Amino acid sequence: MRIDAEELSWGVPGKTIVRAVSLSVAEGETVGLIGPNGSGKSSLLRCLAGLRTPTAGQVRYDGVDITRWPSHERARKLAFVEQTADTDSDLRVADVAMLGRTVHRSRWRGPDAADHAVVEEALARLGLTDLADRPWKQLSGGERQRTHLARALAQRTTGLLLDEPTNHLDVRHQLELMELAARTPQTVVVALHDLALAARYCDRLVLMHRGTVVADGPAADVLTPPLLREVFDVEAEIGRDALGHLAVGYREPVR
Amino acid sequence: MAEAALLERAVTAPKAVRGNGVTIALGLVVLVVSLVLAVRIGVGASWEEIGRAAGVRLGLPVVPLPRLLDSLIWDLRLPRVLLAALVGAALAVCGAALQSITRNSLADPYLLGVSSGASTGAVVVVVLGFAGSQLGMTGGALVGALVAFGLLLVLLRRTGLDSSRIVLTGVVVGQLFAALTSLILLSSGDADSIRAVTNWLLGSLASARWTSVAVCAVVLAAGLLVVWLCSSALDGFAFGADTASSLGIDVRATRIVLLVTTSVLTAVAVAAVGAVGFVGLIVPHGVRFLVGPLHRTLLPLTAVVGAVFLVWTDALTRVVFAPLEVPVGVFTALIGVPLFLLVLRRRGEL
Repeated sequence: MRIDAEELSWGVPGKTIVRAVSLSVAEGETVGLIGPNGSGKSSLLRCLAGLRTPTAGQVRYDGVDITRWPSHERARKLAFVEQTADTDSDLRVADVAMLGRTVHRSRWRGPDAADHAVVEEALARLGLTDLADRPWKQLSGGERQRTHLARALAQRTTGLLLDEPTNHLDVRHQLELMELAARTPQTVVVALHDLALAARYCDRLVLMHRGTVVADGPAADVLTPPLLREVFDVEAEIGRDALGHLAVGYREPVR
Repeated sequence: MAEAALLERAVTAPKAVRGNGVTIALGLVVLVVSLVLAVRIGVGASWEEIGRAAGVRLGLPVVPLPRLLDSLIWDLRLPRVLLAALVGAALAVCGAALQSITRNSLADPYLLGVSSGASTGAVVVVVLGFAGSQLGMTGGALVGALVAFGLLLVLLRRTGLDSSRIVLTGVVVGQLFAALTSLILLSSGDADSIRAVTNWLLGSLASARWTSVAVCAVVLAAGLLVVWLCSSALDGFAFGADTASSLGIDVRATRIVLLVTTSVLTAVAVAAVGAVGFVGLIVPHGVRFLVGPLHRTLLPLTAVVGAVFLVWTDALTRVVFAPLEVPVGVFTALIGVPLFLLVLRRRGEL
């Protein structure tokens, strides 16, 4: 699916958090959303997911304004993984992944064999098959996050929004998850803190600062020392690591 | 290899669902046995006499009982036991639903002040002179329950329904309505009605009649169906409103439907037997321990176990201090308060 935001603004009373953001994500593209804490990445993702109603501008899926869409229409098109989604409930890993099938089921029936097959496949893709019967609460932070991603995959949508999905993951799982995000035919918008990871796996980077988009393009154009200085307040050098991937080196902050 | 494991798992998953079906069927058997046993407790009638009382109504060729004994069994004891079952089921289901939409394991119609609001509404109807009217009292209780819920929502408008402060706010709402009830009762001035109403407020099944059984049965059946149809939405609330909405659940509509439905169920229960507390806290916790948190199974089993629980608690009230009868709400509170503390402790708030 194609996702467009046009002159999108959103905020809470007294504070505008997203300011007139315009953004286009083409079918199958993987776009990395980067920016410092509080730059509006999470709020923008929530607007794109239709969870917040913009105060101005609009969000379009495949060219159609979603403002008046009911939640079940949105959920058939697009899945969303929050940065921190916690629970007191004793749901098992398979139960959490099964939540992704909610929108595909009538109220009258429980999960059928097809739903179970989709969930099994999603769990397998994230290497969670052996944990399927474990209570979600007992997992490590990384395993919990992967379970949420399995839930989003089980939703079988053509769009996927991920808010800092690699936060609690070890290196191997970070690479696997980003590999999955880059390879899937789904349209993906992913907020990331790790600039090198974003550069390596995303087709395009969108740099946010104080609620606006300050740069949008290939990693080499977005991750430049002047832009990083302006947005992140760091002195950085862009180079290559031992394997030839883009790497960011930071100098000691000057006080 | 991996595919074979996948297939095996896909086959085993529905089996667990069948296992839960067996658990519910077993629960229903226990409920029927409990009902039959509880009818006898405290009546002093033999099985044969109970059989004759039922047989006459079913048109069987049996010798009718003496009128007094027949009336004792048929007009007092049987409706009382059935009403205990219906009210227990309704309150337990309310607790389970409220705990999921508020994401707070302490939510319960009594602790959130909804029962107190319903009491106030019913007392207003009594004071206005419609004491005998079951429908009038139910209507008054419903208005009271909705007003209490409305007040709770207004007080929580800044923090949202899944705020950790919901129980504290609910206690405040409950105290307000308890004070209003006392005020209305005292200003009405009639000593006899004050005593009768006070007894009913503590939660007592002693005045159960067939009309309340009928009203409760109809409302409970409808309410349970509505809540059960929200099962997958209730599951989806586990990770909060944003995740629920992204799963395709209409968060606002689901909340409104469930808040109104639990208000109706609570109001009917309160109008019938007064404010019996803690059933909605005790039962869902126990049932979750048995069958896990998925609502498709949790809700029906909560209803069944809630029914069994209140039937036996009411039976206890009839025998422990016999011939004195203790209001059933006193017993549920004695069981519920330690559990409340246990839950608080497990959450690290005590």
